[in-house]
Amino acid sequence: MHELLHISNLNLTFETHDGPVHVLHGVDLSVGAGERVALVGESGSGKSVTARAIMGLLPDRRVRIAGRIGFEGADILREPPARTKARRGRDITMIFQDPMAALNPVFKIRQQFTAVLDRVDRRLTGQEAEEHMRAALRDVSIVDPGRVLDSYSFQLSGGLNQRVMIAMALASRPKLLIADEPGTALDVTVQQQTLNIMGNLSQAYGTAILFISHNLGVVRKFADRVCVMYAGRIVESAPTDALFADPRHPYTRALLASVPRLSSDRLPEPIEGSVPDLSKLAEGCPFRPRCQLSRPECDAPVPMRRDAGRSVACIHEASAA
Amino acid sequence: MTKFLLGRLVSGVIVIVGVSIFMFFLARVIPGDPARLALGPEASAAQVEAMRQQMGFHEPYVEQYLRFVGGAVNFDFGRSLYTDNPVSQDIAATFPATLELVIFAGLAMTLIGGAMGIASAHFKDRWPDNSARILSLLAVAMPNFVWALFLMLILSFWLGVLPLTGRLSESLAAPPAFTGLYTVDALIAGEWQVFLDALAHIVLPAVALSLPGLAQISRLTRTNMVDSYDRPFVEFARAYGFPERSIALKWALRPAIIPTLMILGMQIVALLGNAFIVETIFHWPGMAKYGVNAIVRKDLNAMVAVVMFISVFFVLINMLIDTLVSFIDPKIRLKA
Amino acid sequence: MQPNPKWRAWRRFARNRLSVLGMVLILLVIFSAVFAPFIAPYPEHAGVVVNFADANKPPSAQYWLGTDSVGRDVLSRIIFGFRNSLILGLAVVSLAISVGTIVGITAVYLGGKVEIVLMRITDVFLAIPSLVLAMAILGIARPSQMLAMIAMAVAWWPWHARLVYGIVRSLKHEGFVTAAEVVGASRIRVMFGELLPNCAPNLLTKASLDMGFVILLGASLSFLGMGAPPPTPDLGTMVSEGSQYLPDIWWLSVTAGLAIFIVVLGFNLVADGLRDLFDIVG
Repeated sequence: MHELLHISNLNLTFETHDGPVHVLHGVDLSVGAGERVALVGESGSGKSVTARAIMGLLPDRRVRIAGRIGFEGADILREPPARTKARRGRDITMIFQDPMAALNPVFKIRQQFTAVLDRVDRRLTGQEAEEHMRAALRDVSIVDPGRVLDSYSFQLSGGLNQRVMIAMALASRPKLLIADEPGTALDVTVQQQTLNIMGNLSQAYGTAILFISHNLGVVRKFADRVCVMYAGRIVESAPTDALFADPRHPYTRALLASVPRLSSDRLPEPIEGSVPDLSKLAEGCPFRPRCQLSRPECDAPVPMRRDAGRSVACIHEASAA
Repeated sequence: MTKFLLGRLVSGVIVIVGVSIFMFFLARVIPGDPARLALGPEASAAQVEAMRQQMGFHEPYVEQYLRFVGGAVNFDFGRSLYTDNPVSQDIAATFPATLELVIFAGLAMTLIGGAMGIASAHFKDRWPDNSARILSLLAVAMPNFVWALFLMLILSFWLGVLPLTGRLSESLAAPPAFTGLYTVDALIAGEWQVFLDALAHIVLPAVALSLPGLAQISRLTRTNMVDSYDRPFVEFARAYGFPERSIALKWALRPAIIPTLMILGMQIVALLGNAFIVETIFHWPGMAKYGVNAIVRKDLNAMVAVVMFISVFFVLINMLIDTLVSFIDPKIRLKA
Repeated sequence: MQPNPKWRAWRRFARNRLSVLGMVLILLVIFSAVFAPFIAPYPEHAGVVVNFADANKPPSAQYWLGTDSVGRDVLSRIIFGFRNSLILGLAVVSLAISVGTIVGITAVYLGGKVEIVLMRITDVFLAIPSLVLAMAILGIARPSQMLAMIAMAVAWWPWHARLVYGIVRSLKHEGFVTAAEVVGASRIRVMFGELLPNCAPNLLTKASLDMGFVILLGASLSFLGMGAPPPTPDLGTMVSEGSQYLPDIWWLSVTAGLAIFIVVLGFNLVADGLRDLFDIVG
């Protein structure tokens, strides 16, 4: 499996009215061709920002960014912006959290889908484009594509809108699909359905998925590998099964404990405290204030320990290993 | 949609009836003795009495009002005390000049104001935005009669590039009346020189008239465009690589333009109101100038008619705009 | 550093430097209006003074902004003109806000037919441009400062009625209103004790904006000869007088025009700052 996306040492700072906010700290992340990687963390941990950095969607002003985002050998941060832009909607596409809000309320689905297809292949005739759209919608289990194309997003259910988004996202057979908390706005059963559709289709097309979520439960069935993010850093990265069987970072454990489970009588345990203020973060482990194992040594910079396809950033792990 | 527009029509009629009651009250009831008010203190008692008889001022108010409404629906507002013509005839004669001015100013206001707002949002916090915001501050905060005089002073008096007042140079004859709009009529008649002259005359008053509305529209469009740019649907458009120009002029603009359209009716009517000043300054022989004269001379029939006419215009413009909005905003169109 | 709420509010207001400029402009105008008799170089020129020897003088060291056609100092008349503009603005805006607020709150709170009738009446007044409405009212009587104020308030209250109506209607079903009703607060109390304070930020911002617009409207009326009768120093009247002598005696119209601009600009900028402060959209 060759490497499709390779992010190394990504640092990102927002300039705000109240001074700089360090959003990402040395993020390393890679996604292989056709692989499904989940990026998990609480809101504000930097997941969405990472996604937008890959897409080149962050505003140039007020954002300082350093490191490397490699995509198929190209460096997204150093290539001409036009190159990054040309990749959008073709090699990389994106699915958004709230499909209703991501679809334009004053244009019909057909108009928006046509614009998406126009990016895929400019030479399509109207007839071809129509057939293309209908086929794509049938692929996401929409039985009456004509009616959906004639509708506005607010006339469709959330699940239907999400499926429309998936159809649009996969229309170009992209190499990478970034799914930013897909279906969080939907109810659980509908969410599961749409995720299955997305998973099956992407597998058929060989599309890799970077799956952003705050919900480990959803991730478990879906991802090949999980990266746990906290306060702008990746704190643990492991194959899904390994991570669930043997979570090594205290934050990952806390996160797992907070997931409600049908099969267990144990109540989910919330994580005490809250995400730290990113504008004043010290060098050491960011989780220290909420961590039960916290020790004075945790204030020193934490190196990433790697072994057998796993990595974890915790000094306690070092002593255990 | 028909239901929506029908509802708007009904409220429009109610508004017009309301305006007619108010104007009747203002012109006939409050003055106590409208005949004396109209004729002034120098008129003899016999003259005043004659007028009372002629206008039916001795009848009960309800009867007077019904007669007034009966006339109004047939465009009969009585005679002007000053020109002695039927008021509706005076209005028909002067309205085209005002309409021409309002059309030019309205187009400038909508197109330039809209373009400024779009550019402002697109280049938010950079120089096009800053200069557009300063310009719109100047445009709202400076009364348009001051603008008019400044423009006149600089462009007409000092630089002499544009004519001072009126609709047409005295050396030229008005083009054959077809629409009553000199620029349009001149084009229809192929009188090129008249067209250019009429155009040169309308520039200053139209600019002065358009500025306050232009500022409001630019500002509102900017606010809504900025809001639109922050919405997920614009991020969607970017994430799929839609060209930046089509994002600005289509995907972000269409949803943002709806609030601007909704205030457009109000702004067009405000143009009619401000025309009262601009026409006075530029000696523009339009209905607004006629209205100013009517009010100054206490020509009550003419005053009532002009105000009624404006409120009807208001209702019609708003219906037109509601129709337009319902075409652009599917939520309105599909609801009814 | 301890974040003092007043200081934070000021920082939000002052984030846009133009709002601070507006504040400075307004303070200067208020200061000169209040202390006009002490600041104006020729306070007596605010009244009937005929000084033909110095008539139509361009700006000079003696008369900084020149003199008018009867030889009065333009600067002094502008300073006294500020006084009139502010009084007019304050009177009209407070009248319009009071009437508009009462109408708006009453309409929502009583609902039903009262609501329909009140809002229809509001619509009727909105269908006539403010300037034309004020002119028509002034047209049936002899112009006076008092009547001009009333006419302008009549033309202006519907905007406030609409604003308050919109806000209050969206608040009507909020928890705190129901709570107040449940504990048996009287209707009047709920209306003015609970609902009114919630409109305050919007009303304050609108009031600042309206001070500008009303002063502008007043200037327009006096420009058309329907404002305060002479010899009251009135900025609109001064522009109008000056316009008859264009282009030779340009300073009268230009300086009086700029004076109006400064006042209106000041209130507009402060309104922008208040909008940032209260986070009002639109």
